[in-house]
Amino acid sequence: VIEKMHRRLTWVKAVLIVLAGLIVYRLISLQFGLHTAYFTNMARSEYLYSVTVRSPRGEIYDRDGVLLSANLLEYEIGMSPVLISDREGTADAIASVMDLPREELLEEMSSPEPYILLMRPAPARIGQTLMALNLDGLVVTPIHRRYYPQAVLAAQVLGFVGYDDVGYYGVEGFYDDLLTGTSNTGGQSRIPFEVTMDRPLRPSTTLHLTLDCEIQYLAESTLDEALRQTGAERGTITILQPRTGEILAMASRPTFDPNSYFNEPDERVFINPIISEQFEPGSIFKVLTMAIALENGVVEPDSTYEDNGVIEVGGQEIYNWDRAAHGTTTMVDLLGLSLNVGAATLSLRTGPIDFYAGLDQFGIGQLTGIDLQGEASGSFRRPGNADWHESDLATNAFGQGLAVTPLQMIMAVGAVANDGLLMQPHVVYQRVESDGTVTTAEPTVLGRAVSAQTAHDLTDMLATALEREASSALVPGYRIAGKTGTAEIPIPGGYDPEGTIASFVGYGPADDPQFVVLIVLYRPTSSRWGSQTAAPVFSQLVSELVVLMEIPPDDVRLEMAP
Amino acid sequence: VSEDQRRRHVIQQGPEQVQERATSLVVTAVIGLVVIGALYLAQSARTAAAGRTLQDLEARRQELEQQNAQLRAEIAGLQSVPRLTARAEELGFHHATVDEIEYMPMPDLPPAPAITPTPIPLAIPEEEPAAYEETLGGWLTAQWERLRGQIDLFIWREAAP
Repeated sequence: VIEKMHRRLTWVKAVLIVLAGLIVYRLISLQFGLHTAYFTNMARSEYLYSVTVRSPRGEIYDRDGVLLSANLLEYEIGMSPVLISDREGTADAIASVMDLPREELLEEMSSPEPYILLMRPAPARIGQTLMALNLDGLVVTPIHRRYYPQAVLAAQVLGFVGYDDVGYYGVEGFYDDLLTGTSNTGGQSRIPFEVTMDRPLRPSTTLHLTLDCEIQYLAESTLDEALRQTGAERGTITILQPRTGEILAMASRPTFDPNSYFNEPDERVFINPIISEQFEPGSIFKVLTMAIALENGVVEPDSTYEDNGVIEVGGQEIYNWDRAAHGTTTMVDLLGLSLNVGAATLSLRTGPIDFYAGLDQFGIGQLTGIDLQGEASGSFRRPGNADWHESDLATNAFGQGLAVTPLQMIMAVGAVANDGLLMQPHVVYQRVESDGTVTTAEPTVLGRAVSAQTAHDLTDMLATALEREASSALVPGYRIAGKTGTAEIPIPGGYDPEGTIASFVGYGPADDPQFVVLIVLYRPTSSRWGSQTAAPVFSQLVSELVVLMEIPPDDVRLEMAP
Repeated sequence: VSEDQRRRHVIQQGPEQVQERATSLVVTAVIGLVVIGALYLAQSARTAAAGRTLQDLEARRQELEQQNAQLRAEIAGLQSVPRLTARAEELGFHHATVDEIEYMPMPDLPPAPAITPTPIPLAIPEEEPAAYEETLGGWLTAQWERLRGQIDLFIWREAAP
């Protein structure tokens, strides 16, 4: 019996061994067989899910570390009525947290709509409270929103970020790639011990601007006051550090609040007119005409010319603003009295080749390359262009018949303030990477517009001209070089007989310029002249600017100089 | 004990003794496997727990970073220049004017660092062979523009005072 049982057991063993062998064979064939890839993919699709890892958008600060652009967590709150089990209770909870009428909520809950939006954006406090309640049918979705704590301050420099997380205009638009970083999309395992911590391929970069918030606020508040006092319909104020090309402030009106850009009916307010809008600069352009004439040896600082009150060029008569003849006139008086006949005389004596080459040297008609989105290049006609006329040479001399942006204009005058060197304008001062690497923008020379001697001579002439005319642009305690401008506004078929563009460009202290300020007021109503509208604004602004920039009055500064 | 006797003794081991040895081997193997399995399980459990902790910490880190950003933004809003200026004016402060500032000379103060601008490096333009795309119309227009420029200059020179 035992032997029989042994034999049976042997059979059972054999069968079990064969079965075990088959199972092992099947396991091996599944693991290493022909269909390995298929099964691997099937398994991965079960336990892997796609995750996109990105760092929060880079923040933007001013040069002193004041936060200008930040990230805020907000929520979209909606509900799916069909999924709500307890309508009364849910309505009570939502009404108390969101401060909404309970009856309206109950009515909306009867709707057949699959999803009803209740609030977007909702503050974090509301979103998090509702999320904690965990109510059936209530959908609380976190959304990241760009937040501008300074509201309208520097709005047109900053730009904004749309709902699509893309930066538009200004710094947000120009540096969108850097601010966004590069996301990393990969598979994340559901198996706990296979969890990996993915990092973005390139984290976002934090930017520090050259803007100074206090100076920016000064520029904007001064501009608001200037528009109120002069009745101008809009205007801009730009402040530049001439030695470095750093933009300290860019103010323009009208403007917008980037926190609620979507409420703006007119998208044109998003555009920064200082870099994008071209205008005929008028008499402030005489600074460049004089610089080119001096540089080419056409005149000396003490030269004179005979002013007959009118000059004919190419069949077109050009008059002084006062229609008066000033007789033998010095170069300083030409600038001080802003004589068109004198400016035209200079450009004619310089000749078109040297005059337009000089404009090229000052960067007129070319993009400055500033790191902001949407820059315009300006334009002027020159010999060889089909529509150039020889009278252009005369009218261009006093800033008519050509178009510049306020930025081009201030950079060109900034070159005179900076010993003749034209600098690269920029608004980003530092880039800080996530690993702490800091890249600082170095001042970059674009080229030499005029010699240092010409720049110094012209600065002295401009300062003397202001003093001689007892200009309302003067700032007590500081020697300022500058020039007023009153430009006619081109309209189809000629120039607008009503409105003007009043402007003033100036810099100081004259012996060691630390700032250049350009003020442009469009269609002022209190007076059409830049000397009566923009010049006093300059004086007011600079008297506060020197305090913010800690520039002592000339006598104190020269006394303290080593 | 001679060599022959010893061999005989080994051969004479009964089947019970053989079974006992086999059983102890199997038991040892099973215990070994159990120990290895337990170790593996313990290690996996620890790794899984660490993975979960890592996930929790990562989530917590993100949450804290978000809260920090939120607080930074709120602080920046409260410290915004327009708000602080308005508040200061409410309290009776005003911007200092030049006349209200007294400058005190400090003989030991180091001078401000000099700004040394970087010139743009002179790029040597790489000459690329121009693709032939000139049309007769384009050539005529270019010639006409050049001629016009020369005429303009000539007229200007004649008319110049």
